[in-house]
Amino acid sequence: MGLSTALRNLSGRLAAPAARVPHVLLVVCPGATAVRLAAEVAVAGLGGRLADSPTEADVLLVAGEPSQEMRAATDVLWGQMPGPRVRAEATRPQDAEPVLRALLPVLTGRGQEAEATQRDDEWGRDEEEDGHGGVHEDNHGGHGGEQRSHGGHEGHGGHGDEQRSHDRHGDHGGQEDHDGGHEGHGGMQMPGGLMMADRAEDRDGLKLDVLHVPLGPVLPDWPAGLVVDTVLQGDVVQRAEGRVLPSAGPCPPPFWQNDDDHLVAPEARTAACHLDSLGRLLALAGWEDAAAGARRLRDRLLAGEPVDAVRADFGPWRRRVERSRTLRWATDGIGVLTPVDAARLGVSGPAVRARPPHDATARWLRWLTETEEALAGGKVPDGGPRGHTAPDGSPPSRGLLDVAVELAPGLELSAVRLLVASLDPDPDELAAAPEPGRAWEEAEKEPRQSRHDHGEHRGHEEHRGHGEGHGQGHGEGGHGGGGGER
Amino acid sequence: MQIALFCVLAVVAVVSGAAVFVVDSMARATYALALSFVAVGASLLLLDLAYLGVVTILMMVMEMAIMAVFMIMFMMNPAGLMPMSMLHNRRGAPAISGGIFLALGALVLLVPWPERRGTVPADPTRAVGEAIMGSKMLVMIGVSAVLFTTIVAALVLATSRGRYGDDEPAGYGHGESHGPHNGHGGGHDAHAGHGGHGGHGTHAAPPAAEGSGT
Amino acid sequence: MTVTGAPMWAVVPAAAVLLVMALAAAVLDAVFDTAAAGGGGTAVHGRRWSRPLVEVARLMRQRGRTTVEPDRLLWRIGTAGPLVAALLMAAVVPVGGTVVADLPVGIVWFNAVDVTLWAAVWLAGWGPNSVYPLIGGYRFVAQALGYELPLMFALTAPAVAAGSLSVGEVVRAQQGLWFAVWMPVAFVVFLGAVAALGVWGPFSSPVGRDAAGGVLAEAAGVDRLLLLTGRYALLAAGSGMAVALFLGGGAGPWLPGWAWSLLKTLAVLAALVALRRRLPVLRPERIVRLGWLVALPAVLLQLLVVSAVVVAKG
Repeated sequence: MGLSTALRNLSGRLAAPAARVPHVLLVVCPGATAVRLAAEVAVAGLGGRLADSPTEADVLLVAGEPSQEMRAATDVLWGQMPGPRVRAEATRPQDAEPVLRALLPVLTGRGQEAEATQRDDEWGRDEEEDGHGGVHEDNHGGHGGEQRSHGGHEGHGGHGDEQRSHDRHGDHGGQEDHDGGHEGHGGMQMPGGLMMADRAEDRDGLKLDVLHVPLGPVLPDWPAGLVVDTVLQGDVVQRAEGRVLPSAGPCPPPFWQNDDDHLVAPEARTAACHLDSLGRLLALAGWEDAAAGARRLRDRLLAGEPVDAVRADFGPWRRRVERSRTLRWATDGIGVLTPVDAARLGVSGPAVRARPPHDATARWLRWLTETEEALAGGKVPDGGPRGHTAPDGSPPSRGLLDVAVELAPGLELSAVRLLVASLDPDPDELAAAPEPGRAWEEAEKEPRQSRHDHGEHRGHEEHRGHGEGHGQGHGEGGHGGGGGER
Repeated sequence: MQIALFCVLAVVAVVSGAAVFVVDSMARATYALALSFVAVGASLLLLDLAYLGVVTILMMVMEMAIMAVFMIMFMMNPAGLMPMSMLHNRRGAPAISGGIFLALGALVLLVPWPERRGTVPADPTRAVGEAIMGSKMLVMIGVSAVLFTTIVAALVLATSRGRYGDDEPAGYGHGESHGPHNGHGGGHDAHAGHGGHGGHGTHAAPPAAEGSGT
Repeated sequence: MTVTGAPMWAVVPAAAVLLVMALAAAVLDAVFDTAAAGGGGTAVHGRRWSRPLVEVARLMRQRGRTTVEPDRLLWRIGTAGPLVAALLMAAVVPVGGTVVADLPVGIVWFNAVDVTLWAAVWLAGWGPNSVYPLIGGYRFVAQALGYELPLMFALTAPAVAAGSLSVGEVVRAQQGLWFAVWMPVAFVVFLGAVAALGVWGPFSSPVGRDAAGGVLAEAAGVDRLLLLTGRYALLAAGSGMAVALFLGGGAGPWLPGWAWSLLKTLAVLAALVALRRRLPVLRPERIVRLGWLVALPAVLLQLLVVSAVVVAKG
């Protein structure tokens, strides 16, 4: 028996159990909160887990109907999944479970081999390279010529094999994003399509390199479709701009907003919303157990379980979270939002009612308090879990996103993630509402940006359109690794 | 057996030392140097100087791990995305280093090495220490404690402000809340630099306005 | 109990034992995992313990990952690094009265191998040429700066008490009284450092979810399997060392020495694994603060006490 046959048999034998714990990369479109919740339940029910990165995943599940930009980002992510891999979309909450169930057999099926051999991206090239004993650069460039015109690969061919070692420096993964999304930023074209890093002043007066890394639209425990374009020095965010990808077609009213025609009472829904936010924050703070507890309580509320029963279990869970000194230590001092700033940015809701020192810790403590109040049957203060509509007609999440973007510079990546999670702007609200121009943006943004912000949302997207999708995808995958366009 | 092992280690040390100047990536250069030091440490083990050998490996790997971070951080060509030559002073350096290598090599061959008198001590490391330090041992031990305390104290004092001003959450209040805003302003300064699209990453960002967190 | 070196072939069973212990750690982690029980699912609850095996099968079947312009050589070194380091550490950990390599400076050896992790994890982050792994790699170096000095002094305490850097001598010096009893600070700091060098629990920010998996973000297939195995193996080797240095090694009634060593190691391992469920992740800057301002002074005081006791006893 040849080695390859033996390997194939082994692969077949490994396949059956491998699908028992599928790692699912959940791509949530703005406006698809209901589908996301159903999908999370379904993944847990099937014994799977949510993947941190596309590299880890073997199932790509799109929740909701992706817009053009989301689809482009999803394709990039798909290209980054190693395989065996399967993908599907679930557009309605009730679809999530059957769709997932139907996917799993495909994951173990024979079709995977065929798909693997036909793949026409860097994975395919990889095998060829191995055969050639690592004449990487030349191969790469050659392929650029043969297959399609790889924009970045010109000027690459003459790059000798002996220079292989130098130009793969880690920092520059981000340059892929650069390549995709921010053309004309003024870097030098590099072999492999990578860009030379920009440099900018560090606070210590040093000139250090900066990377342009979009956070989102797909990241673990990240608001759906939100993109925060950051400029990173090391892991410190020097600049941030936020935007939300539009939803495909007309956006349904935000899932968490209180309207009367829903089976679950507004108070329970508000409590569930806060628990959802808390679950996200706790997961990012690395406390999986507490996060899972929040999500279980949330799902029970949304499943229509009597509020009193949930409340009985909420108490012990809350005390455990509240008493954790390490959790406080992790979130203390992040994103101080003074009442003055809150009023200026039009923020309302729990974020404003948080006590001094108004930091992330204060905000999650406030969520705990308000969840308890809502479960006790108290009236929801603003008509919505995130506050009321600002005087200029923008939804409460707009203010929250503005706060996050304004407070992010100077924070480390982990702090930025906790900051965004502690504010938890809801893209459902933002994708549904047109973006109004805001005072601080007018004053501070560079002309190019402010024009977009004033422009009609659609136009904005179209303008930066295609390249951006890739950029985001890379950002999500965390690198310029092998994006679909490469 | 020992001689063969020594030869292998010597070759590894010299070749990886030379590789530092051949590779054009700072990460590879740094860890080539680390490998060179590890080979030197391992050859100390051959002399039965177990402690010195292992400590050499320990210190050098640690040093190189930190040096890699600093080199990449401070170089004008950060992270060395461009093919980066590790050579400076192309004519002088080879002459000097070649000369020194030859001189040391000649010394090895020309110096009349003493014959071993007596037997190998039970603990060669202790013997080496006493041969070098002799009666000053107690003083050296005391100095090392003082030095270490000084390093720790200096670090604690120097970093009380944290990396970017007040990262210590305790006692924040309204004062600190302005920190992020300053930061924001600074960010936009940098942004303005980008707006110029000066190209080639040479645009001069104005000095950041922040720095005073409070 | 005296500890003696084993013949050369003992390397193979020792490696096997380490891998089994690593698997045990993974199984314990899966069993403690209440998060997986969420959502009212029923599919795998009965067989939670088998999840690590399923994961192994899954990763064996998955393709390896390539990225644009990686530094393959350094990436490979970084990927294999943690497991190799764990094996090298295990070489000086006695099981009962036997140890693979009875080095006169076993404790320093353990420390030196631990330091090579600085390089290995950073390289695993550097290699793939990708933002999140790189951030993870830097996070590890930052956190290593925080835990390394306390770890060194925590290792010094038993060495001073035993008057030797040999792990076997330290085990022998604990006849009658385990070091964990009268140097509890050093013991706790050592356990914390083991969790930190295993990128575990509160020290797992280098592989944090907030950085899309950090160092693990680009690792797929066998590469990922190696990294994850290395992580559990480091915990196992560190637990074994904790048993030898602080919990009397293979000392115990009724059972043979090797059984006591393994049982105690499993207990320490279980405690470390359970730690992950109890605590959120600490950011690296907090770890440095904790290490330098709390752990370091505390362990130095501990060392002072130990030295005083040793001098007083003559």
